Amino acid sequence: MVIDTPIDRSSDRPAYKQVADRLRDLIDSGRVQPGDRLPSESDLMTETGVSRATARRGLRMLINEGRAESRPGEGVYVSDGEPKRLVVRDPAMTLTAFREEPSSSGPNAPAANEQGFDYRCDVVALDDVPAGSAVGSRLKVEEGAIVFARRRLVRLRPTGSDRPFRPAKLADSYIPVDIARGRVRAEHTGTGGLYARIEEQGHTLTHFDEELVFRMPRPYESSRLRLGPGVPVIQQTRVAYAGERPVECFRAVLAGDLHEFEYRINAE
Amino acid sequence: MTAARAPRPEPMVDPASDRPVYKQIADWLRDMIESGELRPGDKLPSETELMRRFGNTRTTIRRASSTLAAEGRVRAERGVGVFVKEVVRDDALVRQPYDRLARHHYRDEGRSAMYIDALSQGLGSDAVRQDRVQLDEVPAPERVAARLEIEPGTTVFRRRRRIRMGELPTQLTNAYLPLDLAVGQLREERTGDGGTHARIEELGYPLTHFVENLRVRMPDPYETHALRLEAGVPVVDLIQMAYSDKKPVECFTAVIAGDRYVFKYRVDAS
Repeated sequence: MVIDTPIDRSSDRPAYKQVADRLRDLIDSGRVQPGDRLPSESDLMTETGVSRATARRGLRMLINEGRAESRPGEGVYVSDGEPKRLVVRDPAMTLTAFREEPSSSGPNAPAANEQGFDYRCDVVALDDVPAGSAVGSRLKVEEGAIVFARRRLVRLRPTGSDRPFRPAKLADSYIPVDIARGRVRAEHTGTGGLYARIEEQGHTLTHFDEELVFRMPRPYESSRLRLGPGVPVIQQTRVAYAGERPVECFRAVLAGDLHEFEYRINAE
Repeated sequence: MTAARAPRPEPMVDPASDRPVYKQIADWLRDMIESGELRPGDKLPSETELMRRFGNTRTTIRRASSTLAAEGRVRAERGVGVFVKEVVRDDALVRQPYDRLARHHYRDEGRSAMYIDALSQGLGSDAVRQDRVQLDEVPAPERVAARLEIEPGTTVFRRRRRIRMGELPTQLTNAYLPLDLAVGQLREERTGDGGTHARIEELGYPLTHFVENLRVRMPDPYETHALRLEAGVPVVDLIQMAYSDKKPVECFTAVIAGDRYVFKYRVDAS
C-alpha cells in the first residue's frame, strides 16, 4: 500500500485531482524519487478504488505539470529532478564581445562550455522570406516585405556525456534586404559574426531591445525541440539598433527546462 | 490591395493517417486561428457543429479543444463555448526592470516598481493591490540563504503577498530581508511611498545594482488557484536580488502569471 490517504468521495475536489494530489505527496515526501516509477493505473485502481479513467486523468495531470513522464509500454516515472540549465546572462557583454575578442565561434559556445555544456549551432536555412507582422513591425517594414532570414538550431548536452545532443533553441535572425549582403548571407559569417558584418557596412550598433514572453510551445516547436508535455518555452525577441534604425530582429524559442535568463541592472 | 483568400477546403480527417483524429481536428482549428480567420475573442464552432462536420464523436471533439487549451490558444467557458484567446493577454503589463527599478521613481516620486508596471497599462497607483499579506520571521530557504550570503536556516524577515492589478491576480511574491534590515516600516504591511527600496536606502544602504533570474515552468495547483490561471498558461519563477555594493540587502522572489506580463530589457551596445 503506497497511497495511505483514501479518496474523499464527498469532497468537492474531483477524484482525479485527489489522485494527482496523492501522487504529488508521494514525490514531495520523497517516498518515490526522481527516476522511480509511479503507481500504475491498475495500482491506483486497486489502492484507491477509482476507475481506470480517473486514475489515468490523475497521472496525466502530473505529466502535464512536468513532474512525471510517460514511457510508453513501461509506465509513468517521476521526472529526473531539475535538469541542469544553461544561464543566459550579461547580454551587454555577450552581444558586443565581438568588438574586443572577435572569434569565429561567437560568444555563446564558450559561455556554454564554462557552464558545463557542449554546444552546437547549425544553420538550418538561409532564405529571403516575407516578414510576418511581428518581424515587420520591429524592423519597420511592411508585413509581407522581403527580409533575409538566418535560421539556426542550437543543441546542448552536458560536457563529457555520451548522450546525444538535445535541441535547445530555435534561433532566427531577420535582416533587412539592403543589409543582407556579402557574408551576412553566408552560412559562416566569419570572425566576429553577424554583428561584425553589419557594423562593417557602417551601421554601428547602439542598443538592443529585448523582450521575453513565457508560453506553451506550438506543436512544431515541441517537435523540433523534442519537448515533453508540460514543458513551456521562452520566446525571446531582440532588436538590434544602429541609432534609430533597426538592423536585425532576432527571434528565438528556447526550451524552458534547459534555460534560465539572468540580467544585471545598475541602479540610477 | 489584399488578395482574396482562397476558400478553405471542406474539413477532412484522414482516419488512415498515423496522426490521431483529434489531433487532425486540432490542427484544422489551429490553422483557422493562425490564419486569422478566428481572432482572439471569437468562438470556435460548437461541439455539435464540429461533430457534424467531421462525423466524429463528442469525446474526440473535446480532446481536440482540450489540446488547444493545453497550448494556451483557447479558453472553455462552461455552457457558453470555447473561445480563442491571446497567448499573452492584450492588457498584459510591461515589466521593464531598467525603468521600474530606477532610483528617481522610488526616491523622488514615491513610486514603487509595481506602480511603474501598472503605468505601462495606463493604470493608476490605486490599481496595484495586495492581499493575502503575511509578515513573519522564517528560517531562510536554501536558495534565499545562498543569495543573501547567510547560512541556510538563519532567521530572515519575510513579506508574503499576492499582487493584483485591479481584480486580476498577477504575482505571488516573497520578499526576504536580513533581520538587521527588518526594522520600522519595513516590518509593516504598508512600507510607505517608494516601497521597500526607499526604506532600505533610508537605513544607509544606497542600492547599487540588481540581479534578476528568470525561469519558466508549469504552475502547481496552489499557484493555479491563487493566480486564477487558465489551462496552458505557465508561470515565471523570478528571483530579484538588490545589492548595496557587495551587500545583498533584499531577496525578492515571485511567481508571475505568464500571460499577464511581457518582460522588456534595454541593452546598451556602446
